[in-house]
Amino acid sequence: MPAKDIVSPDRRSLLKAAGAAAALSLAGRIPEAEAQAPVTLRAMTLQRAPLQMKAYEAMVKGFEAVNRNIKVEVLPVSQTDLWPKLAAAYAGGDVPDLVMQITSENAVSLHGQGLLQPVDDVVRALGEADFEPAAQNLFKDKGSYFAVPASNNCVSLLWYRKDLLGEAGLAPPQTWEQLVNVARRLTKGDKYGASMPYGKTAMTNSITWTLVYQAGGRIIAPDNSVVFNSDATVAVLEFLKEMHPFMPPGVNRYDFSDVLNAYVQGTSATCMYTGRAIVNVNNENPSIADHISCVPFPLRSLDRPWWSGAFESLIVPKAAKNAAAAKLFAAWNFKLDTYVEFINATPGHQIPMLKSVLASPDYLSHPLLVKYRKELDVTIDTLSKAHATAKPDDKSPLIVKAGEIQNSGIFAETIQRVVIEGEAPRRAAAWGQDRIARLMRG
Amino acid sequence: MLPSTLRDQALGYALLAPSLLLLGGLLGWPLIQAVLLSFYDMHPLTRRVIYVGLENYTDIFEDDMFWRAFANNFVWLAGSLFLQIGGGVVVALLLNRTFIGRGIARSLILFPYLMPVLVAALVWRWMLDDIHGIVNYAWIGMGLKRIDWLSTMPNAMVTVIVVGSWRVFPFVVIAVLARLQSIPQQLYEAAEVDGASRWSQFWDVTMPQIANVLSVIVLLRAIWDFREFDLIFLMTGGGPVIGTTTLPLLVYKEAFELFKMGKALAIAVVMMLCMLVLIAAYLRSVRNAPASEEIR
Repeated sequence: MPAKDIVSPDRRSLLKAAGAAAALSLAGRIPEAEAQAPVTLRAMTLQRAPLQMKAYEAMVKGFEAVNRNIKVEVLPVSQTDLWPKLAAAYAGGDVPDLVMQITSENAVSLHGQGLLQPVDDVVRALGEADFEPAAQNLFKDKGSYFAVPASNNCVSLLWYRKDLLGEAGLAPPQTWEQLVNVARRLTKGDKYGASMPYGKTAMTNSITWTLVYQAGGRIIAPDNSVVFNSDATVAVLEFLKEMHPFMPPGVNRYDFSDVLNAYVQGTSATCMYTGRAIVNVNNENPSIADHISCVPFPLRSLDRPWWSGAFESLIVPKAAKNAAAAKLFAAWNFKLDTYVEFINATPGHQIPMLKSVLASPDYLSHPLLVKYRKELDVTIDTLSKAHATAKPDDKSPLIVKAGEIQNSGIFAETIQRVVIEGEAPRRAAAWGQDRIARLMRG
Repeated sequence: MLPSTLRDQALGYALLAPSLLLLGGLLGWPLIQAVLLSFYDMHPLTRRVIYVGLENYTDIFEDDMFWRAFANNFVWLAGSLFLQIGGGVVVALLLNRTFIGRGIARSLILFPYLMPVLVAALVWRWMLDDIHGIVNYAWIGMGLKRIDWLSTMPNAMVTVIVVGSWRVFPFVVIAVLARLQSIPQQLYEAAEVDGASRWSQFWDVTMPQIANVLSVIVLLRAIWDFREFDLIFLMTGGGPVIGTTTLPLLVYKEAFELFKMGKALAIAVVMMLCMLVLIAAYLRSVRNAPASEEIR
């Protein structure tokens, strides 16, 4: 059977969708043997909320209807479990064909280890110019794309309660100093001023980059030396220690969901989170739905803006057994209807990486995005200025061990040493520096 | 022609051979591979392997994190054994008495032991939740100050020890109860005739009778608890900082968080040597245990 025949005749009806068009252009490149044999494509994903999984179902159903020889298995995995699962997969020779919505530092690390296939054909088929410039800059290394930019989310937001800040006569904070003041003023009894992560968790490790960059520091210098032990890191540790009394009691174990839950349930007046706050508040605590809003996460100094985006992408491991089919499904991810359904499964959380979709009524007409248009604009605007933690500015080289550094837990342990054990920030920073240096040597 | 004894021996070895080969393949080979790889630097994703000799071992012995994990392992082990054995013996003594509903009580006591560790850990984490947990709710209801059970020290270690002991103490109850039921009643009657108090009866009759069972239980539980991973990982992740990081958690951290597979295996080999000491003590205890008739 010729390769093009794996696409069913009704494909013309799908041509309006960019993703489908790209998938079709890729279909011709599937080796004949792979096209003829039934293929089970194993696609891992790091976005696994129930509605997102439902959106994947629709995406897979459409894809399988068109590509009858390909079955797709979607394998949800948490951020925390990503490395152990990948290690087990590589050890067992059972590597996923495609990893979806992987955060940038992990994609960069896998690329740094030489484990990824180039995906230029997918990016070009989708229309390279349609991707956000920051994403193009991040995922293109030595003239070749190692990941397909998929969507973005912005954890560099501070969600706040308009009613509580208003009652206290406070304005949304713009600096760390103002945030400490807001958190202090709004902490009363069982109500707390803020919710941020201090646990040995993925979120604590993730936000540490942002705070250090905001303080003017770096973890890894452009020459690849470790520069974690700096005045900037000390400032971050002091800031987190100062904020700690204004957080809920169990904050020392908080990860993504705990940080958000404290805000959604009304336990904390502010929280650092992505736009997922919108849907969670509306579903779980609608009584505060009219009182929430967000600003870019406060800065240490207004003259040094820095915010981060997750820059989620799709990657095809070199060891994938069905690479061509994986690329076909990667392109299919961008088929307009199911792409928007997936993005809007958590409205405001996932932000499209394609400029054409970002401006499209299909995306913007979701009722929650209409209601929270101001907050969506803040998110999009912050992301337009944001960088990935693995490439803190356009000129810096990729930090090829960003994923290892983040998943090592060294950041969280450094913070806990200061906040829980009372160690001096400078000493904890030196400990962290030593640990990161060991990691970089390996 | 071979004499029949030799023929029987040869047949015996021939029949044993498949099992030995299977065991060797399933247990021996991974063990040898683990020991060999502990002399290498290996990346679990790229499978890149570099021979480093004893470097992984010198690294772990010079690392204060290893020694803290080692100490934590013994704190966890001592605390768990104390609670499991103490609690198990007390409950076994109670269940050995006659009372209404004894059968139901004996069945219910097994419940924690039958519960999957994942469920047990999640249920306890939920109950110990700082804001919505029933434990803190009751605690505050008694006029006491809210306690952070899992994210400050020494609370976290104490909590995992209590939960870990709760989960496995039924094993001690079953083993001790079985032995209690086989102690001849005449021994207690004779002690009573001699004017022994309840306390004396416990120390002079019951304890000598259950001592052998207890020594076996202590060693078995020590071997099992020494390599406990899932409960501690699920409840605290080894935190706060490294307050509840035991050696198995450190192995996981080195292998899957820091990608130092060789170093992780070196720690695992050290763990195995510690466990060999416990296993040797267990085998010695079993070999030297007098038959129940001798105790009587």
